[in-house]
Amino acid sequence: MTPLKKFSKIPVLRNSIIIGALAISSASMVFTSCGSSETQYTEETKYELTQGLITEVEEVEKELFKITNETEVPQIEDSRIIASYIDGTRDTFTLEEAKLVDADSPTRRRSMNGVLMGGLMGYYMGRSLSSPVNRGAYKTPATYQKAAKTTSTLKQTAKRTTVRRPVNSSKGFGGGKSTRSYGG
Amino acid sequence: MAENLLGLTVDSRRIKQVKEFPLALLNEMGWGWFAGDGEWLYLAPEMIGVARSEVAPYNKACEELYQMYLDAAQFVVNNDLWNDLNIPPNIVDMIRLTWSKSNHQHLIGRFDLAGGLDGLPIKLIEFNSDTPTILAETTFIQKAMLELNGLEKYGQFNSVYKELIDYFQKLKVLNPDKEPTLLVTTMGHEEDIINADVIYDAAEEAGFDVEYRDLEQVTFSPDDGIFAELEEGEFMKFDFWFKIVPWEYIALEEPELMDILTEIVEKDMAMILNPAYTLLFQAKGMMKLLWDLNPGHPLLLETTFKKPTNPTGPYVEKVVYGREGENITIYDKDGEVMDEREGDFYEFPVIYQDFAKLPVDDSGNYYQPGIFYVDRPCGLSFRRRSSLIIDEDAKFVSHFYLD
Repeated sequence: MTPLKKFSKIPVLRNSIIIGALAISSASMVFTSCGSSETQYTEETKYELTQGLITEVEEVEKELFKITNETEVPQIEDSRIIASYIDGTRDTFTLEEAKLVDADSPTRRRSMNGVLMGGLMGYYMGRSLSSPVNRGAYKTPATYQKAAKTTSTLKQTAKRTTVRRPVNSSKGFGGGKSTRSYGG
Repeated sequence: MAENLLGLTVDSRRIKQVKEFPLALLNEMGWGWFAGDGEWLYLAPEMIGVARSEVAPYNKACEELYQMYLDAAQFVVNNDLWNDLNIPPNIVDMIRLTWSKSNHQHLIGRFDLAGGLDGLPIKLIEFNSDTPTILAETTFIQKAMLELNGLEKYGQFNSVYKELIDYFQKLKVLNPDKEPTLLVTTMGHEEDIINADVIYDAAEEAGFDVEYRDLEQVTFSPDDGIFAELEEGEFMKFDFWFKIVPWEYIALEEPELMDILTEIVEKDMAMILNPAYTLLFQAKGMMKLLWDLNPGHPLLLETTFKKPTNPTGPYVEKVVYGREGENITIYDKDGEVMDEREGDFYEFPVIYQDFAKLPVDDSGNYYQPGIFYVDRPCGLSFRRRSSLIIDEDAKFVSHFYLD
């Protein structure tokens, strides 16, 4: 018999674009091209950090943390948070672990994360690279000043991607409706 | 041959036991869904024989019915009968627009008929004009069934795929200002995607640059048209969009999308297939208008918006926008329920249509013929069910010419 056609061009599983958890987008700008029939796009620059960071925080008063040191490391997966508590104990977290709620002391963890967000670690937690670090998060002026320099290193080493989409466009219609056929 | 109120038992020599369609082959084609990975039997292990002299009347009937639909649609447009047909107000502009422009051509529809075999009169049950399926089974599966069972010499009525390719070629000629780029879209259900496969391939063979996206992944801009993101941030604009997404769904459930699409078509930034006016053909209220404009026509079943008071035989209640046999009730002439199906479409108004007899085999299976229409009648398909309502549990039965 004649060979049958092979139909496999349309994947059955949905195409999903996974955007890295560490991608941070900058403010968007409207890009107008020449000629009225040309498509107009909105452009955004996304930064993806490539270097890692070790942040040391100290509990200076009960449930009040300050950043005492920040050090870049070559690999993003080597990022850590080292916490020294007021009772003299210490903890080391990965970024993911730091985000988890500590059932025993949720207030302390929230307070620590607030400080981390104000420092360089904030860039790994979703803050835009164009927003500067918060002076109040640091224990000493010297640590704060060092952070400003590290910011520019992180920015320089970040992977930049320009993404664009048609101006005034919408997407996501008909979501979650794949449970039945709409043919007749 | 026994005839009763519900059907006519066809000559048993028509029904031929054949080999089942091999699962491995289905999987190879990417259509394993048809067999539920071996869990269910959708493709019947029998084929039905049809005389060439029976196909010609199906053809003639559908030519005539299509013209009736065109005339009736013009009547709706001239007389603003949108409310009578339950056409959502937010799609009326789009229907008028696409109806008035000759380049908005209807790609594909399927007439669901009753009768046609052993002298049973052909009757129109409905016209699936917007999002017809059973396309993959009709175009390829039943052709392969002929070959698998050594019946090639008999042949079958089936040039749907060729007509689709010709149609896409014609579309290029009719739209010289447009790029031959086609985006094919469904809501993501596997059955719909398999149907989309056929359109995808036909367009590609006609020289179109084709991509597929679920509706959720398509980007719509009222200023620029219809886009798919090929890679992150890299958008491709498509001048043609084929959707297995019903127009009434877009109008009622996604009104924002309806407005954007209207603007896109108004600005001539994309051609949408099937065009919005096919909702007029699809709306079952149209069955009543067809009857009113052509009372007593032998191809039509009497249809009303009110429950018949003195019916002379069984009749069917169905919602104006329903699919896959859902929300249908069949009553006998005394108003007693003979069969019914619940479903997702219960909120729509209903029509009442005279019951039409279907051919039935010795095992009590009812056969319902469908004729595909791409520019002309071009293919025959049968579904069969042991109940009177042909629903999603119906099987697909391939056919062959008896002579």
